[in-house]
Amino acid sequence: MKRPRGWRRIPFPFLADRVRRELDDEIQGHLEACTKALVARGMTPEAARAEALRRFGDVKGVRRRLMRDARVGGIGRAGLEQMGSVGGGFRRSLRTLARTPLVTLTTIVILAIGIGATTGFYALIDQVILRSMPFADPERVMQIEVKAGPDGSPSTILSPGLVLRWNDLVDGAEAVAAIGRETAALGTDNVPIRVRGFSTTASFFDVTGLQPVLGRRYFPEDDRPGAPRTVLLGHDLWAGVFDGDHGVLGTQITLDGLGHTVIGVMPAAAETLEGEADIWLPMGLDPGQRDNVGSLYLNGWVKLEPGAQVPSVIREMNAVVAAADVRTNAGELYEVLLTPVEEVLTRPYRAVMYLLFGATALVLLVGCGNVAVLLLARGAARRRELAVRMALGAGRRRLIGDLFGESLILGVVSGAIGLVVAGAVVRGVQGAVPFAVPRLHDAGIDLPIVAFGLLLSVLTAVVFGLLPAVRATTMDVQSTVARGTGGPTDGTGGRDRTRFTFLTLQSAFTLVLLVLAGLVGRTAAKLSDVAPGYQHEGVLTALVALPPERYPDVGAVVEQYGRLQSALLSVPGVEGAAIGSRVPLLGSTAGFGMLADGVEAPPVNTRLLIVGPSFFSTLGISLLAGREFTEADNRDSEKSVVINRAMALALGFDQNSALGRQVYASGGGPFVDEDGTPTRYTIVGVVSDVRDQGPRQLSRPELFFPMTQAPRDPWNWLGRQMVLAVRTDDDPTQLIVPIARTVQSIDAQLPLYDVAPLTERLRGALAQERLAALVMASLGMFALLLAGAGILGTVAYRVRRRIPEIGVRLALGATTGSVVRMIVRDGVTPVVLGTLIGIPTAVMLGHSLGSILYGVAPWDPLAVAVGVTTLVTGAWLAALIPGRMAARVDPVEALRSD
Amino acid sequence: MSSEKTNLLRGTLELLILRALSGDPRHGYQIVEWLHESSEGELDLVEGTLYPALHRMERKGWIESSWGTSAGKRRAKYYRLTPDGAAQLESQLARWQKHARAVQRTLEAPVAAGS
Repeated sequence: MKRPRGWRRIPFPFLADRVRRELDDEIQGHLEACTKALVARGMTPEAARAEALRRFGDVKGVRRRLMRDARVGGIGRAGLEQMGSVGGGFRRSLRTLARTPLVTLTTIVILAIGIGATTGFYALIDQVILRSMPFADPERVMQIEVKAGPDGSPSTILSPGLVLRWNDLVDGAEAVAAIGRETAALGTDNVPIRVRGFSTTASFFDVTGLQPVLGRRYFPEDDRPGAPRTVLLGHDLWAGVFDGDHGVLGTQITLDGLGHTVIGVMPAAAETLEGEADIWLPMGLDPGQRDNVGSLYLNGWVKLEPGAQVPSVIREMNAVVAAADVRTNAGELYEVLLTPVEEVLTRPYRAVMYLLFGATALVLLVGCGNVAVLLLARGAARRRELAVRMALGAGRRRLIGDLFGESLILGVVSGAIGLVVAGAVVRGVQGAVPFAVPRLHDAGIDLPIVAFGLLLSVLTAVVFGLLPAVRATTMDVQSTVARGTGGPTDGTGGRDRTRFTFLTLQSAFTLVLLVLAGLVGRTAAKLSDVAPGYQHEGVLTALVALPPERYPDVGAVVEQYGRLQSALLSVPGVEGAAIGSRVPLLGSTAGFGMLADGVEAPPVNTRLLIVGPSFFSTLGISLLAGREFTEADNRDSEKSVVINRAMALALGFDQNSALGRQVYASGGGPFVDEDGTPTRYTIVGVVSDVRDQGPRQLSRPELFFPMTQAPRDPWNWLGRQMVLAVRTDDDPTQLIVPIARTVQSIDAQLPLYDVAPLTERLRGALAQERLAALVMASLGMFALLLAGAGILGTVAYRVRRRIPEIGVRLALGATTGSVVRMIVRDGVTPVVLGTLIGIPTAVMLGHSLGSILYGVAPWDPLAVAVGVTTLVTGAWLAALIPGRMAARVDPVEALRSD
Repeated sequence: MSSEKTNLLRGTLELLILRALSGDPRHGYQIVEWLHESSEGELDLVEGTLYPALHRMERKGWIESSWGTSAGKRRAKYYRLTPDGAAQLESQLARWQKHARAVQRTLEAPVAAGS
């Protein structure tokens, strides 16, 4: 292959043109000058021209040769002096940096760590929070919440009736979708696989704009009750279990024993919504559900019409609520809240992520203080060099340009190393976070992050490098050259003020970090101390679901679970065994509006659970009144339920007066006798409230059915899935294998999944706070170290400069103690000033942590006190080292050297 | 064309250019004129060969150039010595003089007859 000659050497055609033009000008000028000279000597212009050409020789050859030389020389100095000077400046900058390796290295290390940590957390935030959701027009997609709690607290769980009505009646809504979680056993050749996903109304695709990557979405005709069963596969399931086979379209898969036709595959992006999404099923809501406005068990999303205003849509939706007359336990109409789905999906992590990102940025700022002081010191040391160069005629602009170049090099190098650090930070956090944060594990250092990191580092280095540069070049040349460096009178007062400012700010930032770390740490400690209301130690939990294909009848389900419980009790080492649709932190609940006989009150929005005998005693949930379920509660005995304390209070009873009362489902629903009247259930026990979702919240009103008496519908709502909980005095993980074997011995086809000790789940619920506390504490300590180093360096520098003065003081009878005190006071003063700035700042920022903090006020005196004490002690220790150095000054020596 | 003259010049052209530029900046033709005049017409060169030498020296950092206006009101590229170039001139000059003296001495030395 023939390559055009020289293409490699001049990458920019316009540069080549310029070189060529200048060469031609030069040669032409020569020939003209020569011709002119010859004419002056009497030649005719034609003859002169010919002679000039003869003398010059081979014009074309020379021209070719010059062009070639220009290429060999890179871009060709000839026409590009400015570039040459940039290159020269770069080399000069490198030489200068290499002359002070310690300062350069320290600067790079501080900046690289600061920038790396900041960039790493930015990468995480970017992935988890900032990158937009895979929706069309995400700003118009809102999550619907209603203020349904007894205290008006918002609930994301809605009734099918409201969703259907909103979809039809609200003009400002393009579409309203209902979304529910699903789990199912996917039939395979061997043991079924547990899959999770969503069931949605067909409008889900209109709301999100998501489109299958393969096949088709489901439409309203697929979403009718009784329509042929269809399913969309999640991308990961399709790629993993079905080998990404396009032939999967149109085939049948079995979910919980029922055949479903695969009509499409969802995009991988849909997976990022909320963790696992293996299957997408049409919800098949019965239009008759329009009247079911009271039982809350769905999530709802709405897509606003383009240009529709949120408040007006909310007004319309509230009007629908009012027409349906849906009220809270306190008798208030539900109020609708709309929040962008993007925000909702990131809400649980938003505060902590921003906290940690902000904290790393603060550490970076503290580090920048050190860098600035370092460069300031170097600027001072170079005053003479700079002054000489200025005296020799180097422009101030050029000198600043050089210093700028140095900063640029520092920035780029630290940025590059920082990106490596950022990668480590990202991997570290990913490894340390045991809970599933959507999209967290997709985070990495990609192009936008690289750009962010480099921009940040260059900006940092230039700002903090140029500041001292400007300072260093604003000087009186003559006096500096004449005097050299040193001497307390060489105008360093200004620099001392700069240093003082930097130390003050560094201290303030460090204090903020320490106080915030204290607040988060206290939160984590408080949360660990919260009694969850149940016994988690020694309890192993797992999920199991009986597929309807082999257990079509609820009676068979109940029987099999009963058999399972007895089998578990006979496993050696098992002290107690319980079966229930949910234990704290695991399993699922249904929801329905419940009423009590003889009480004039609106229905209580109640969580429904199905539990077996000995459930409460096995989990250590205390019985406040009455009894728990036993084997005696069977199909034929009196219909009994247990409620929690919150439920008793919501019904208007206390824990004792609730006993013996009868409750029934509002509107009956599936809870009716054969004659259609709502079934009456007698309250036989009241249990205490537990912290079901983690240590922060107490559970809402709950009602427990005994397994043997729960009607068919709640079983189906709960997917016939139960939690197995076994208790042992020993390490519960030792029970995993025997329990799995026991389950297999009952039914070899049953998958046991989500197996973990309850203690571990509880720890997982605290993981975010613990991790935040750990990271904050480390960042606080790192900042303290940086600030301490800054104080030490600055005070030591001042001691060196004040040696003669110290000598005089000592000679005049000052004690070494007083000298040490003077020096230390010098170092600690800016720190004290910094704390005065830092305390209000920390309290202010603490307020914005509201959702993170638990049991601690943002102005928590303990956190503030510990922060201040730590900082001031650290500063005092740092200043003490140069202080003792000052005490060792020999007055005679010091005075002589002046 | 006298190839003797150019051959003679090739090794010393850089030195002569350095010398030519040791005063005021000059453009290419001025250098040619200076060479011609100061050698009283003895040193002559194919003028085109001057430019590769000038550009080479510029890349070495011995001379630097800038565009100015010549006496004839024409744009011309002026070359002048850099400090590096001045040092170069000094050392090359010393070497040349040493060499020239040695050649001179050798040429003037008596030659023994026979072997």
